[in-house]
Amino acid sequence: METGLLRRPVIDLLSGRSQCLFALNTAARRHESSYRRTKHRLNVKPDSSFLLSNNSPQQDHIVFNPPSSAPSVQHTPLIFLPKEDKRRQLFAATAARTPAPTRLPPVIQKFKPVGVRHHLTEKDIEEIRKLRSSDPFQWSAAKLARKFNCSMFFVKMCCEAPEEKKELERQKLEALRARWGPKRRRAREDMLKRKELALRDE
Amino acid sequence: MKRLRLERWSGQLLSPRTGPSSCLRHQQEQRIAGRRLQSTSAGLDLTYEDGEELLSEQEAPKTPRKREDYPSPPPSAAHQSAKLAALHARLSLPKKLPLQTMARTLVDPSADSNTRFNNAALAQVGGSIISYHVAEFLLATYPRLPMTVLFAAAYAYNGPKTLQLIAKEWGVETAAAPGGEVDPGLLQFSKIKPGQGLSLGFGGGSTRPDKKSWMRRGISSRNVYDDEFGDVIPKEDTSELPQATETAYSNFVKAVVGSIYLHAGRQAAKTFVQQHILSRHLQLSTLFKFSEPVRELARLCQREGFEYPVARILSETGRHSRSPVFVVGIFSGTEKLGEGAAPNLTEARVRACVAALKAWYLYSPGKSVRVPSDMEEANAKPWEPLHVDIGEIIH
Repeated sequence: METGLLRRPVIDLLSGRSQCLFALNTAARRHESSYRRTKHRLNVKPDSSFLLSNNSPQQDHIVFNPPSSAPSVQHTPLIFLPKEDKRRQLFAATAARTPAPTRLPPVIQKFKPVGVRHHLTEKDIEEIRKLRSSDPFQWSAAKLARKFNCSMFFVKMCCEAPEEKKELERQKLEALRARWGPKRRRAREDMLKRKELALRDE
Repeated sequence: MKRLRLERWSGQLLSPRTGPSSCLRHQQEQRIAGRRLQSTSAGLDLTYEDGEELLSEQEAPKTPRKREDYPSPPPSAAHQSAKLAALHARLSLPKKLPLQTMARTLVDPSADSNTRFNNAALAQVGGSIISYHVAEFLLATYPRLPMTVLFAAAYAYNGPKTLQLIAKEWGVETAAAPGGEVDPGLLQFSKIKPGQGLSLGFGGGSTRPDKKSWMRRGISSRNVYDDEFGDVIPKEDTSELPQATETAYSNFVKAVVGSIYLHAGRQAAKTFVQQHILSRHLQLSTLFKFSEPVRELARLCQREGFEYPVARILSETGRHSRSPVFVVGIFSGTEKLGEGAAPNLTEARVRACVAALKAWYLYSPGKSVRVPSDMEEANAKPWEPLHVDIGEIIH
């Protein structure tokens, strides 16, 4: 341990380029022939579609087995095609041959569409406005949404918080941000950047 | 429709002009020694209105002007320039396009303010031709593009930066300073001095009616008031002031197209634009940026009468690990509209919605779709109407 520590600078001093010296020694040996290595790399992973069966075509044909990748945006889905497009008939012909999927993948519960309910009347909206103006600090948008069983978006459409309440919220957020250390701040900035990237699809 | 005589137009461009007829004779005589002619073939033995022939060699006072006195090289120098001939051959331009016109395309208005010797008129014609062909290609190939993306795509195809790139690929170099003694094969313009700043011409205002800076400049108004890239058109003409290099280069490329149009015709100009500008690959899908993709997709489905878009998990891995991956698909009924992968469900849904919206906007009837100018060919097939979209989604 200690000798190593002592010797390293000496070697560096003598050879000038210590790394290069060792590299030359090790590179002189060949563990594997380059031909075999190349052949090995070119081997295609076997797939069931390569095997011949009774259903496989009798003539020369192309095996189409692309690697899995994200679908391209250039491939327009069937319902996005206009009525006069010729691809509609082609897609319909293909769809007729392949059976339709019986089960769709599971819906994400968090994003499950609520649907339009229209359960609040004019009187309810008046009530929301009255509560909000009477005590905006107690009746926040979230609380009103819970009380009237509607979304916060709807509450914000009905009424707006007074300026002093907004200012207070802003100050609260500022105080919270002031307590962040460098790591959390950077993490937050990165999160915003990722959001921007998602909107630009990069 | 009256047929346009292109050869006559180009002849007019190059023919020697003997000045307006109202001009007095003694003025003509004074001018003749220092006159600049646009053609080398034009002789100086002119016949005036009174029928008396003037022999310039004997009678005119001989004050020969040197080449350095002119702001740009004379047309006679075009035949001596190896650079110019090489450029003409390299671009495989038609034989009908003479080297004198080629030399004129390289003279910017900032070098020579005389409109008979600079490329301003040619650039105006060529610029219109280029932007027409680019616009019809984009609208026919991608009928659903939003206006902002259309502006960005037009800028990417025939904006000044791209045209500068094209001219540099052609091997055109700039002269250090314009002048009569310069090789006519070099691009001549007065350069902006370092540290001077770009004179974008906004000091004199624009052609738009909204004068105040706080007035909203929406996308629809850009269609009406602004240029083909959605940029403001300055009110004052700054073409004779020192120019940025990219402006001079882009004027040159436009002037080349304009001169091809005047000398060789419409079809040659179209082929030239297709080969040099439209043949470039532009990845249109990178020009998009959305603000509310989830809501925009919902509005689209509502507008077009599709089922409400629903996010579904196609696959996932490592949900409780440090770096999970969720693959989310957006479905309208049983039809998958888009797919996105991300480390959290929210981002994956956003990405899937963005992919679905891009698939909508980037619909194309095919790369080889016919454009309106194809109908100008002889014995063209009857026109089939193109797909015209009702417009982008407003959310």
